[in-house]
Amino acid sequence: MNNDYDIPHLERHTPQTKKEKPFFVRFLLCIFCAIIFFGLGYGIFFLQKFQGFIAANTGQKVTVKTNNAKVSLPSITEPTNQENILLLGSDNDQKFSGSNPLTQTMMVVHIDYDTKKVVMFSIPRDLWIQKPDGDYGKIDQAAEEDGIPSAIAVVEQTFGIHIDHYAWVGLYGFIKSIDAVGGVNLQVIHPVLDYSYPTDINSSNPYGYQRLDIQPGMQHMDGEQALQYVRSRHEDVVGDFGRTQRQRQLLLTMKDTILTSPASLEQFPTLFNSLNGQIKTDLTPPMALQLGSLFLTNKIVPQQETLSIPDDSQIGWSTDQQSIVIGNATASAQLISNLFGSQAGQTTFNSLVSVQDIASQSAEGQ
Amino acid sequence: MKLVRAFIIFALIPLIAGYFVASDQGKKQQINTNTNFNTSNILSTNQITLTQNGKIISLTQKGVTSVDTKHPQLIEVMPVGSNFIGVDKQTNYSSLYEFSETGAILKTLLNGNTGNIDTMDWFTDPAINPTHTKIAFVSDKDKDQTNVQDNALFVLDLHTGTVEKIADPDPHSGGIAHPMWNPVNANLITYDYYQYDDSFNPFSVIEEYDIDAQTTTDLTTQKQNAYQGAFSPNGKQIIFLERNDNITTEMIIAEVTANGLTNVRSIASGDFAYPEFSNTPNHIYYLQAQDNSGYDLYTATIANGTLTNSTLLSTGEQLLGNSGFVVSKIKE
Repeated sequence: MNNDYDIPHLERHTPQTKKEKPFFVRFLLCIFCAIIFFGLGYGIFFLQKFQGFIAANTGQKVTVKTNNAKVSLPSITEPTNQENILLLGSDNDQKFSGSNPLTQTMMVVHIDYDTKKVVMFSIPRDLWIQKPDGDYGKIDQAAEEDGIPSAIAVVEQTFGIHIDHYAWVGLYGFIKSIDAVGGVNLQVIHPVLDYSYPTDINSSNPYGYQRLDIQPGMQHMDGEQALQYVRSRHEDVVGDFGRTQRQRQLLLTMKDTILTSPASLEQFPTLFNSLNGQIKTDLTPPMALQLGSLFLTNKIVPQQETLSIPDDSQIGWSTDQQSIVIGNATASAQLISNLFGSQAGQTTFNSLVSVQDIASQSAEGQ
Repeated sequence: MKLVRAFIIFALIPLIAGYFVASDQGKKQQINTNTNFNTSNILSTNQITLTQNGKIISLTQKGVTSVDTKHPQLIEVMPVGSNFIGVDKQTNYSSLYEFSETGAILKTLLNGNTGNIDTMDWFTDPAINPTHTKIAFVSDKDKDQTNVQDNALFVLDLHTGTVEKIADPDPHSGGIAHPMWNPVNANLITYDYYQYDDSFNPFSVIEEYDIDAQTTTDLTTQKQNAYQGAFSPNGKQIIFLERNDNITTEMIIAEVTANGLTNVRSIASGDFAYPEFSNTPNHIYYLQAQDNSGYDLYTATIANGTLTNSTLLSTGEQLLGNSGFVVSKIKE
């Protein structure tokens, strides 16, 4: 068929097929295509690393479907509504001999998939609460009794929220995690002088202590230095509040580190080969992969501000002379209500009023 | 056929290239402490002194001089005449030494090792005055006498060896860091004072202390969160950092007047540390974080209210941000 003769016919039926786009349009399309595929290849590499990270963590395999040049990426389906993940950290140092360590770090990561926001809510380790069995105690002692399920139960009971998932890390896991991503650039926001920091990590004298001097300003820290920064509290005038701030800061910095330095993902397989029980979680590989994908693609965005029990809570003493935090019921209920809903706020208010009553009775009896 | 060719050129090859570029970037994670320097952009009148792995490194436009002190824990160093003064930080204490130009210890200026962990001292952040006769530094050495278990500000007289406490922070406030002498007024020492606000949020203020009058003046506000200041050689300008949030910083420059700082303006945002003026107006050196692996040394000029001509002086990575560096003037 000769096109010269068929032009009227073709124009009439399929005019678009013969009308070529201008050269510069085709050129731009090609360049655009090249950029897209370059980015795709770049992303595939780090996605594979991330999948290795998840698989190594859980011991299960995550596969990437490949069919020659055709690559099938896992689809990102956003869960509906909200999810709470409880992050726990424990001093499982050389002095520790039991099976269930205290959870000195407790943080609820609240993910709202509708608003695409992530809020971190820190719980002071010394918060005085009523436990599910009716006794009173510090919230960090719950895990000591029956492990992680107990910690989850007291958080759910005290704050009236549902914990969907948890992740726990010990001291050695913390150190190895930081080292595996090449350390962390950290802005030391406040000098840390500690005259009795425990030498219970990789030490011949786990009951000894050392002096710390961490100067302010930008520093590059390895895992052990970062642990010192977030674990020290002895000479801090605001005690556990100061330490909690440093912990939240490190979490945000680590998230930023991973997002802005994709090279750190390279270290994940090494990391999870070496962790071996230092991290525990009920997140399945697909869940973790999905969550990670949402973070990495900015589908959910952590807020800079991290919430905690209001500062006007009181630091007091229990009847057995433990230093405790007695949460301000009204202010805490308002905060929890704003974050998790009015029902959770009411539960929090009831829980903390009950604790305040007991605390005031103890004070009167002394 | 055209379609297949286009697919290979504009899809398959970029896809493979992207993958390998990512793979290459993924391998650049380990910190290389054997830093190399490109000194051609250092001004001919400047010498930059820093320390790494126990070596005292002097950078001039002509090249690099490295002296091994055999003290791998050396964290800060500054030139004094042809010698150097440095801080050797051990596990529980630190000491201030004077090193010869060959790296040998000439003198122990301040010894933090008392032999008893409960009485050991920290000595850090030494800054020498313009006449090279006194050193300002911070230390917790008076903790037993004052119950101030934070770093206070002291001055060591290099001729007599006497140490005088200049300023004490409030107990447990956070303490004092990064003292610097005013280049044109020997009575003025400026430093960073770290504190907590009423809601337990940490902040820092750059304060100026008049030794004769024994008065303190805040040069910056609580809201600014300012730290690591440095004066221009004529004392008419100050450059410092402000903490925006917990991660990034602003580099700020301001004019110094009798009534405080004026024309305070941001010239850059990023992960900076230790901005320092050179001897040339509007010319600075500073450290900036690269990825997650440490800090590199840069030089730049300030023009039209922003940093321009930023040039990397260290290659092969990486300087540690907490070591800092000192810029001094040399003859051309």
